[in-house]
Amino acid sequence: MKVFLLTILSLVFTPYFTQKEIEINFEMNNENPELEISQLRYYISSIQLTSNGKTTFTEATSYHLIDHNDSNSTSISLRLPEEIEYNELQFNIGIDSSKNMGGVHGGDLDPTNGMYWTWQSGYINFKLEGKIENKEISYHIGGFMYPNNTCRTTRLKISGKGSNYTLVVHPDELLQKVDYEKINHVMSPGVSANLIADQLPSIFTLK
Amino acid sequence: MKEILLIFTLLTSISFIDVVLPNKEVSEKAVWPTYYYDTLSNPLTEDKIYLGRVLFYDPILSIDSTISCASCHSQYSAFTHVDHPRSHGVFDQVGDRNSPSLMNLAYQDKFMWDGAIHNLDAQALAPISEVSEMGETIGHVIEKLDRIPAYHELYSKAFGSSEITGEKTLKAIGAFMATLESKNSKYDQMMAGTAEFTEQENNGYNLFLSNCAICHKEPLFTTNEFVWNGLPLDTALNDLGRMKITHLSMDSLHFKIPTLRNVEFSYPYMHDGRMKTLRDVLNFYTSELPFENTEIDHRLNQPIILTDNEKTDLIAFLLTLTDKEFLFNKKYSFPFDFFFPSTKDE
Ligand code: HEC
Ligand code: HEC
Repeated sequence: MKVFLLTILSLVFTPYFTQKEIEINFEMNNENPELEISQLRYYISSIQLTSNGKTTFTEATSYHLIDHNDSNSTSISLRLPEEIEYNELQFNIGIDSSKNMGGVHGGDLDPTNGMYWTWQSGYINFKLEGKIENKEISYHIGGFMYPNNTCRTTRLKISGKGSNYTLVVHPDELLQKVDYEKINHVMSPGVSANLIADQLPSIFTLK
Repeated sequence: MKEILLIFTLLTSISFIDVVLPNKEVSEKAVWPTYYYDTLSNPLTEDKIYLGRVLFYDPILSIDSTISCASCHSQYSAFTHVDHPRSHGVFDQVGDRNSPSLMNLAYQDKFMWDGAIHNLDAQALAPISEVSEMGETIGHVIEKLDRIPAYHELYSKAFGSSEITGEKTLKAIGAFMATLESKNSKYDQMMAGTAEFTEQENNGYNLFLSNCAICHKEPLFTTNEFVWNGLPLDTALNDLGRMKITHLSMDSLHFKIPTLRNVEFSYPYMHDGRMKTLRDVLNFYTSELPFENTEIDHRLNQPIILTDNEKTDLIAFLLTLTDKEFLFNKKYSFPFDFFFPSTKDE
């Protein structure tokens, strides 16, 4: 019999704005461009650890809603066998198509969490609401059917064998890459949602 | 591979014969497909179905507790709303579309006239949240249900724990809807050899097979496709149908082919209820169809020619799709025992 010793690896999600930690709902008046974020929520799913490209750990039922207005939701604890090797962390931002096809689910995926569209079925993968230069922006990014699948995968190099990692999310970087003057409201799957989804993997960094 | 091909040719030749000769032997053809509904992820247990039925009839699902699902989907009219071309919701608001009849939903892969919903369990969220329908949020509905002890008891029986969640609520309503089956019309009995068509009905059936069955396909009387059947755009509503979902111009004006089972009750007809009678529908297919328009579905690019008598016969056939057992089935009706436990009428 083989005994697995489990260790816990915590991932803590923190939003940063131009190198500074931000608090959601906190107005950044003296920054330029002015940015006020009222909501930042997204799904992190299918978390894996890989070692030189080989998957060494896959989290079971891996669906997490990160809501930066709710500090209880911003960290994920992975329980992994101690001897596991890894040098890369991989996860999806959003909910994959097959889970979407399966209808409604519970826990973090319960439709009462406000991350499920009602007039059309499907999860909202990523929500960012706020004001930039006094203009309202509201991005509800979702869609799971070809060609409007918005679930994206990100891979981050991870070094050492720590037990606590901070994952920094940079909403300002997203806004630098999106023409928010033109695209300020995205509420359904389609071209704009795909465009924004394409930027999401690069707004996460590991500290 | 060869065997499969052989069977395939056999099947196609059988159905070819059917088109010419409807008779009792064809009953083999009217085989029901398997469920599209996933009963593994949501097993259809009696207690869950009952909870779903109670929720379906409870106006607590709407913001001012005036409208239940059944307000727009009434059993006696095959779970549709008969008195208005377009549905009426809370505060007397009128929606943009005609409420469809609900039956045999477990065999469908997409819901709504435009296919916006792809899973029956997710369906109830749409009317609950739509301001012109029930104007609620699922979160608030859960809070309201949570205050009612009788519901805790039903959730506990249905799911093994009395906690009320969005997932359970939606799955219960989905399970109830999945059981709404209409399979015992005179047509079904004729197919099974237990009833016979009159000469007029038989004549109507033949006309149906040659003009309509390719889209309104047996035994569901729909292929579940989204197509343009030539209905012109109502410029006041500007409803482009499936294109709203796919953003593809080739889907403009495409709507779901509706089932014709219990069509006697689904008037007014079409997605916006613009036609009052079956005769209006037949007049449309025979004289208003823009069959020369290349955008129309290819199955309608030839004129449909029917005499007045043939129209009467075709309507006589359509009326054989009425299923009284379905319309009066107690399993689907208002659950008096839950809402009025002291006045149990048995
Ligand atoms: C105000 C009227 C109204 C209410 C209340 C209502 N519906 Fe509907 N229902 C409609 C209309 C209109 C449609 C078609 C909408 C569309 O295609 O966009 C529809 C469509 C549906 C469909 C799709 C059927 C198909 O074949 O595609 C289902 C299933 C359904 N409703 C179930 C429900 C349930 C469950 C409830 C209660 C939670 C409910 N409805 C409440 C009006 C209503
Ligand atoms: C190309 C496929 C096609 C063919 C062929 C076709 N239909 Fe339809 N039918 C449709 C579609 C699509 C709709 C819904 C259109 C809409 O609401 O915009 C419809 C709607 C209807 C309705 C309204 C049902 C309701 O509940 O609102 C009736 C009745 C009907 N058809 C009868 C017929 C008859 C009878 C024929 C043969 C003469 C026929 N159809 C041929 C595609 C077809």
